[in-house]
Amino acid sequence: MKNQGTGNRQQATGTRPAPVEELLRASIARVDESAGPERDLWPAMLLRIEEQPAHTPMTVRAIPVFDLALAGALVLLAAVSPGLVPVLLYYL
Amino acid sequence: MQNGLSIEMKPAARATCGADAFEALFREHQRAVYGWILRMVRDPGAAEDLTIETFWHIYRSWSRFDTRREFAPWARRIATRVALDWLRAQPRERTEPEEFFTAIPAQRSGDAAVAAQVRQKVVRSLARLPAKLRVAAVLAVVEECPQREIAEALGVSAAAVKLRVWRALRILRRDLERQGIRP
Repeated sequence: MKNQGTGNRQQATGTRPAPVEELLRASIARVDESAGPERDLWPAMLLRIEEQPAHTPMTVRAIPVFDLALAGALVLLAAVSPGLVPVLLYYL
Repeated sequence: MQNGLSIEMKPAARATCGADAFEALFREHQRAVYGWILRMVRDPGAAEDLTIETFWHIYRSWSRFDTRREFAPWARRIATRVALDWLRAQPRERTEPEEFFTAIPAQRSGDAAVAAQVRQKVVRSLARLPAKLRVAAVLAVVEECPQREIAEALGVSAAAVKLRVWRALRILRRDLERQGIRP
């Protein structure tokens, strides 16, 4: 049977498989395509749904660090050079 | 089915996701979602919990799902995000190398010619990688998933997947060289 992954493997790096790839493949087992949970997960799923009804308020999402840093930099810039505020507002 | 998740929803489940429809959806696709998650986290117990977590997110955000689109990429993306969050929360040194060889149902075990000590070093090096690089490398190199599928699941471009795999392999090579293994 043709090895389906060969093309994907070469596609991943754009070259022939590197030795480190071969070592990785030889060292780590590939998960069986028929792998499934050992138990029926539906009872646990039901419990999860009952714990938190769908209409509970959405949790506040974490703000990415980059956004916070950008906002901080803008505040700092505005504090140091208030003259730049109209320029910033113009570009926003 | 190729590499896990191949989900086609039944028309009834597309229209609404009430309790019955959701149970049908869950029962039909839990195995595929579990398999996809197991490929990333490589811990059967955690994969079960994360499968439930993934379906919980699906249940909660069902109203935002565009039913004209395929369910599979959407579910894979949610599952990947849940798995990545879990991997990031784990101490990098926690991974037990034996889990990679014996605890998961494997299509093929590792190469017998590779010494156990080398395997352990490879697995430990892999476990030290940042989660997003580790997942890209495992899905692309070990699991040989289609690149487009990985890109969709990670929410990045195919070029970004290539870059992540390349970076992961470069870090791995350097780490292994430091341990006296020259791939």
